[in-house]
Amino acid sequence: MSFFVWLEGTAISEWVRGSPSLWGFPFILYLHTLGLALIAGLSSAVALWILVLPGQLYRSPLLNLFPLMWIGLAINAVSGIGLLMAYPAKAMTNPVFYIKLIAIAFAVGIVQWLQRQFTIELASGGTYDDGTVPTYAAMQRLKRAAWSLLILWAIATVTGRLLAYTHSILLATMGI
Amino acid sequence: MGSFIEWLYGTDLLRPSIEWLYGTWASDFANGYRWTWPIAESIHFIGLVLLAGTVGAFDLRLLGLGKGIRPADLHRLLRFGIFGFGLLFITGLLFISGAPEQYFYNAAFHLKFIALLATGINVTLFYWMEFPTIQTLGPTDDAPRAAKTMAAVSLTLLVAVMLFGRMLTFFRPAF
Repeated sequence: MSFFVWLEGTAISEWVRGSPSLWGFPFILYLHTLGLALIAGLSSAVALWILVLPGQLYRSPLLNLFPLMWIGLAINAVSGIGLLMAYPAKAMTNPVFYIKLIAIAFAVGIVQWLQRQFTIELASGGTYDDGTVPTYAAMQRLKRAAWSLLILWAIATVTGRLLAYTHSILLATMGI
Repeated sequence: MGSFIEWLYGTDLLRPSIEWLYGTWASDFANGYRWTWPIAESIHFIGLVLLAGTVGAFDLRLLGLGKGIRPADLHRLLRFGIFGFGLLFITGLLFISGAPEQYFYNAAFHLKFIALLATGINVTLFYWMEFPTIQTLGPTDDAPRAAKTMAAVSLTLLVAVMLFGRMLTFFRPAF
């Protein structure tokens, strides 16, 4: 608990938590939503594309969306650290926070895997722009990954929201 | 903006609507159960992810990113965006009926409402003027300039709606 007390006493933590400026906590929270829309939103769109239009998988155009997803992840990592710094005990003493982190880690792993598939293996049963014919098994793997990704983002989103309602400690400094 | 909110509050114009909303089943549901609000918020964000992802991807294609995909194919994903919007709309109504004065006297909500109205107009104009052309575009075709403008407006408004939605908490009225 002394670690949380120390963290809550740092200048950055006090600024994010206590600053009356909209550029503090409110803007960081907004950035976290924007990042969510980029990484979870766009990768979910790719997952839906795989599930709904498997016969029309276009490798290279879908790849163009991935840099935006990684920008979204970077925004979320930075803003997430900012939010964590503001109320470290609130998140880190809550098991829901770890469920969220695990879901994000697996989801990001799948996004990375999908990017690799689109880049290297051309693993689908669909029509690629270069005429490659992928295998049925590879297409099934893509579909399983797409379903997993949608479920994992749903878990990450729900647990992210529930953090505000399930914490037992708000600030270690105040013992509440 | 603060003085406008105070003026609006002073007029009592919205009081009947607020009282009516508090008497609805939705208000009872929102306030009567401990987990209604957190679950509704979670669903609201899932709706946002679906809407932002599919509409965002479609807008980006119109703007030239993801060339190689026929816009008409990408458009087929918008049904999930519409489903997402449905989730946002229903849960949004639940929030408003649960605490109407928190929204009616909130500058961020007013701005969000204006952005949503502008989005509606933009979508209407797009389907009315540009969609027939967009449906005929090939994988590598450029979207017309007007469609690109509408896609840029759509993305900007999406970001604005998210911003004002996030700011709701910080512009809550003190009364």
